[in-house]
Amino acid sequence: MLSSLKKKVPHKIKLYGLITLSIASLLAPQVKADTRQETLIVLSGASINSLDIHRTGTNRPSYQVAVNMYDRLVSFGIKESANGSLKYDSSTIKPELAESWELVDDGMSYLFHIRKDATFWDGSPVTADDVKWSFDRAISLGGFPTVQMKAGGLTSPEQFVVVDKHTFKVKMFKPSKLTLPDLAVPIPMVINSTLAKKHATKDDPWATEYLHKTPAGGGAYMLERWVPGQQLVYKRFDDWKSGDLPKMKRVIVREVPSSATRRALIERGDADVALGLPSKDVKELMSYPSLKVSSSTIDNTIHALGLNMNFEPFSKTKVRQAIAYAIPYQEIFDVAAYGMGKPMWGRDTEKATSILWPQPFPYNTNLEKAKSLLAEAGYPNGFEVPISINLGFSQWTEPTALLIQENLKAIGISAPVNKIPGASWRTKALVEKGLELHLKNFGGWLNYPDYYFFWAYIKGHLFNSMNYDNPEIKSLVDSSLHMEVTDSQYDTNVKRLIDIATDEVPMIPLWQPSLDVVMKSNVSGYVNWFHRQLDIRAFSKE
Amino acid sequence: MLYDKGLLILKRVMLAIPTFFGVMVISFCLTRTLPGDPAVYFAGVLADEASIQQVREQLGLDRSLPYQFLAYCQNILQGDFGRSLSTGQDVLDEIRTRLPASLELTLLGLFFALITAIPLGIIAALKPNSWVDHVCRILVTCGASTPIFFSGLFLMFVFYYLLGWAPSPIGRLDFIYLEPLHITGFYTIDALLVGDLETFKAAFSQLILPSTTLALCALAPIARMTRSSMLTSLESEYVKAAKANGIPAKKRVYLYALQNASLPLLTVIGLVFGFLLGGNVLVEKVYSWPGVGSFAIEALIASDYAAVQGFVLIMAILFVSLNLLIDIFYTLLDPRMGRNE
Repeated sequence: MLSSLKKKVPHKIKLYGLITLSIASLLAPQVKADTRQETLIVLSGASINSLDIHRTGTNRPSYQVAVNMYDRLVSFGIKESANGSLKYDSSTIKPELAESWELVDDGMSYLFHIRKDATFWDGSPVTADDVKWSFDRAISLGGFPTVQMKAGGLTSPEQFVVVDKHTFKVKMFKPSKLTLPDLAVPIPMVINSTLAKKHATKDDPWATEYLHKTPAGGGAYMLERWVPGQQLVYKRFDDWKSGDLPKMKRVIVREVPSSATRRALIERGDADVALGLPSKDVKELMSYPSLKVSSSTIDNTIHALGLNMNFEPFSKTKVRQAIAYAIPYQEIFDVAAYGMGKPMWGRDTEKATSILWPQPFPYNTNLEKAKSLLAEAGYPNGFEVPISINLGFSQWTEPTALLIQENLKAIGISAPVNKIPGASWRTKALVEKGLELHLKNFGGWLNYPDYYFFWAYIKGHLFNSMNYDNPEIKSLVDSSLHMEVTDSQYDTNVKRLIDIATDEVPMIPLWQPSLDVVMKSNVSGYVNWFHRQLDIRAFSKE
Repeated sequence: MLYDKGLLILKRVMLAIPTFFGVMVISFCLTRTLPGDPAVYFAGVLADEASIQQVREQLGLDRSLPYQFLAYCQNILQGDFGRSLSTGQDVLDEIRTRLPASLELTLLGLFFALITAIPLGIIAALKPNSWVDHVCRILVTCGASTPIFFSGLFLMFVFYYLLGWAPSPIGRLDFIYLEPLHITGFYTIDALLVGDLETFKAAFSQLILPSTTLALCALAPIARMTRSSMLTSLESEYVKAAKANGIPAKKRVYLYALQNASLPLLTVIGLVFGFLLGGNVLVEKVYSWPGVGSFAIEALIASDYAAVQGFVLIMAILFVSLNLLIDIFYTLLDPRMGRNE
């Protein structure tokens, strides 16, 4: 009896232990559920590799840190599109750190008035000195930030003038419509210069080592923790003054590389937002009642087929037109894009009637016409040309290339597919510009047709992988690039640009891609930005 | 005799040094022949000729190859593996956090594989052509022929998506837990060391599905090898002699036969372990596991020289040490070793 009791005692202790444990674990989810309401969980397929957008080697997904943790002087407005998806509005520029601004010096300078109540996270006020240091940094570090600043005509530190503590002047060498929008892109963010300078060294005057891992800003969100390769956790900066205080207190951006896993997680409801799902999944998830999809086209961006002028047959306009008639547009749009996006073919009118860009080209699939054009150009029996694709985007490039290959075969052109790994793509396609026939994708951050033409249609410019050269396009772009869109000449110029591009087709547009994001149905606030990266400031949960 | 074995082990250790140097040379040369120009890749989206050149100089890629190699060797000797451009972290830090993740997963997977495969192989060898043998054969065939990404996705589909038994496949720990203090880097062990049972439970439950996937893949070679080497040693003279001498069956099988059969098995386990550690990229991708495999693949895709070289070197060190360890085990287990040298 006694022995059996002895045996029982430890059992009982164990039992109590178990009960306490299970009660504790029952309570725990309750606590988590409360905070869950104010926490947003975002699944991303890509890895953030730096918290400093100015640094060499910072990848695209990292741009979101510049957007959420730093403020700019100005920002773009946000508009709602027909299907309820939110999209940035390139036509309105709204205040962010600057509460107002005006053109001075006969239209040669912008004068910005910085919010007097704005502070950085450490409580120090945001001053014009910080703005100047940050802008100087962007144009001095070289690489991407410098090139992007240059696109807005900002190249020299003497253009940035501190007038007084809260007044800042940007001088222009020539008036340009691009300067103000260029201050709203992620690059010209305002850094806490006092803090950053403390960590600057002689070899590293711009504190790149420090800012790489430690953001020092005054944006709506601060860094809670960053585990590279795993997750980035934002927490709200409650004293943020440059806009409405965001709803979400914490945002966890978790890296889930496999899109199948991301889909499973969002379907099961274990996450709130899934980024970068393949169009096929997005299409299927649209019908799920527990989920909603935000889908809208990406401005100033086209998926296209590039024809290299250095390849002998492609130097003839008729051959290029023949290819444009041989593309199976609708099939490509259905199979490679799953019908998401906007068709870029089959316009009724031969000449452009509006300056909308991108706009459909007046080509259709017409193999007979393609054949006769090819014969007229002197290639009745066709030729052989490899079609190069970027494996980094194989989701759309591979099916597209196969469909094009099939139709080209029908008009006598054999086009073996040449697969190029993502890392070598830039070198081969954009720097060496040596790919004869290739699938390309370019998007301009500043939403103007002439800006697109500047990068993609002028000889020697980076995204002109076709080596296309046309003096008329060059002079039209030169005169339009800095012209106000209200100028009466602007419409004429842009229409002419589109007409030349249509007629000469060095690049055959296929479709304008869309940016699709899947969210739980109680989540809203995803904004489609030109930079395509995550802006968490507008999110809310019901 | 013990002295002989010691000497043998020392020799093996000495032999590892030229291997490391060779690996360094080869990995350096191989990364330089990778297609793609890292300067162009890392200069960013809008970079022009001047900024690409600037990046090239920053990366030191404008110097001659021998100069780059010497600089690399010097850095390695100082413990500086360079910085990975694609992840923005020091390669050593990156490997310090990722290697334990991979090791934890691989070791558990291997453990699962061993506790299923070895008994299965032994029973199959004891009763050839019985139903156990057939089960063993089916398992081996399935394990060997199912692609790892399929079994990974399949397990996830059934146990997470349909049944909801497994936790969300989002890496080593769910959002709600904080990772335990870094002691060994193994979350389960670290959690136990600091006495945090809840985190241990969470970390362990994250491990189950991916390690089972790995186990399914590792099962086949181990079970097959156990079966065949057990068959050989059961048929051998010494087991027959033992039987004739009336030594009980249990002792015969588990002491004499198994000990001798374990030698080739050890080699296979070493190989399988290496294969799992470097080759579980797909499992890492499917289960969002922040391991070395996916790190290496990303680095290769981006022509990230420092990261690839660092990875190859660390893996080489690991492989060489593993082989060394197995050699040492061999030396200790096999009485014939070290006698004649």
